[in-house]
Amino acid sequence: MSASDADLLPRCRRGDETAWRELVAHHTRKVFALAYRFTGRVDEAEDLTQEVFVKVYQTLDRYREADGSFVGWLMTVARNRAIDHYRRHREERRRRSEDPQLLEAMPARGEHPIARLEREQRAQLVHRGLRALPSELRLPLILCDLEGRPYEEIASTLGIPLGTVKSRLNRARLELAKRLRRRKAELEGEA
Amino acid sequence: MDCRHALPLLSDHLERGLHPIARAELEAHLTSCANCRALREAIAEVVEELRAFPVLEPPAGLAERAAAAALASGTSLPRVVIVRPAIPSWVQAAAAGFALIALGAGLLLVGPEAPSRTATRLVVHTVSAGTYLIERRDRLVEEVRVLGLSVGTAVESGLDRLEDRVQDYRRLLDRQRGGDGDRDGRRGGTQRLLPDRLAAAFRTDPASSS
Repeated sequence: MSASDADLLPRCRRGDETAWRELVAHHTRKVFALAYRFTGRVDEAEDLTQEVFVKVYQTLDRYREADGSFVGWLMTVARNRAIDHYRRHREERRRRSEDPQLLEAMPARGEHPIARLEREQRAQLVHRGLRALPSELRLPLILCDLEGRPYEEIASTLGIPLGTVKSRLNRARLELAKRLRRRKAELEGEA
Repeated sequence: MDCRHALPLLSDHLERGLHPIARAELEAHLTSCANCRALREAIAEVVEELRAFPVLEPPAGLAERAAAAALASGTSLPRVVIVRPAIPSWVQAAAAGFALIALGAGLLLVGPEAPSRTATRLVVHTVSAGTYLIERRDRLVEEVRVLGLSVGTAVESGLDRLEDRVQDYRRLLDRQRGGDGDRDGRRGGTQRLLPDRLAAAFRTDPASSS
C-alpha cells in the first residue's frame, strides 16, 4: 500500500470527505482506464467509474489491510463491477456505434500515412469485432488480452473451468482473426 | 494433424503453451496448410492490437464527480433502473404486426378521398409501426446470430474438455506402457493396466472361440 493510501483510508472510514476526495482523485485514472477497456466508450466508462467508486465507498469497511494492497482490492472491485455492468448493458451496447475517440487516442508512431491508415482500419475492425462478440467470449478476451490477467484468475472471476477459459479465448481470437482475414481479402479484391 | 484439430491449438501456440509433441505436429501442419497459417498470423495481429489498447485520460472533473456521487449515495446501494421488455420479443413483434393491420384497416375505412386529422394520424402511426417492426426484425436476426455463436462455444467447450481427458488418459497409458516395457523388458504392460472391464473386453473367451 502506498503511504498516502495508508494515511487516507482510516480518515475515510471516519467520514473525512476531504480524504475520500483525495483517495478518489488518486485512483481515478486507473479505474477509468479499466472501465474504458471494458466498455470501449468514454461516456459509458465515465458512468462505470462513478459506479465503482460508489461501490467502494459503501464497502470500504470490508477492506482489510492484511488481505493485500488497497489498489489490488480496488481493481478487483472495479473488475467485478465492470463485468456486471457489461452483462447488464450488453444488448444496448451491441446496437451502439464505436467510440470515435478510440482512433484519436492511438499513439502516432511516425509512420507513413498509408501505414497509419491501415493500422487504424485494423484497430477499428478488431474493436468492432470485439463489441460484436457474445459476452461469454468477450469477457475472457478482455480479461486476458486487455487486462493481462492470468488464466487461473479469469477462471475464478468468471466462475468457469480453466479449460473453458482457454477454449473460449481461442474461439474469440479466431472469430476476430477470421474477420481480419475477410477484410484483408476484400481489400485485396478491390485493389 | 488436420485443420479441425489445428484450429483449437492456434491460441495456445501463440502463447507457447503447447506440449512439445503437439507443437511439433501443429507446426508441421502449418507449413503445409496456407489457411491455418494465415489464421495463425491473423490471431497474432489481433492479440497485438488488443494489447495495444489505448489508455485515455479521464475526462476533466471525473474524480470530483465520482467522489461526490459516492458521498451522495450514503450507505445504501444506488437503485439501478434496468429497462427490460417484460414481454418476449416475438410477442412484441406480433403485437406490432396486428397493430399495423388494424391501422391499415382504419385507413381503408377513412379512405384517402377524405383526408382528416384522424387519417393523417393513422398514416403516421402506420409508418411508426412499420419502422418498429423492421427494428425488431433486425434485433431478432442479431439475437439468433449471437445465440448460434453461444451454442457453438458451449459445444466446443464440452468437446475440448472431453478431448483433453482422452489425451490425458492416452498419455498416462503411454507413460505406463513405457515404464512397464523398461521394467519387464517385454511388451504387454498396457493391457494389465487397463481397467478390469476394459481389459475383459479385449480378452478372448475360450468357451466362445471353441
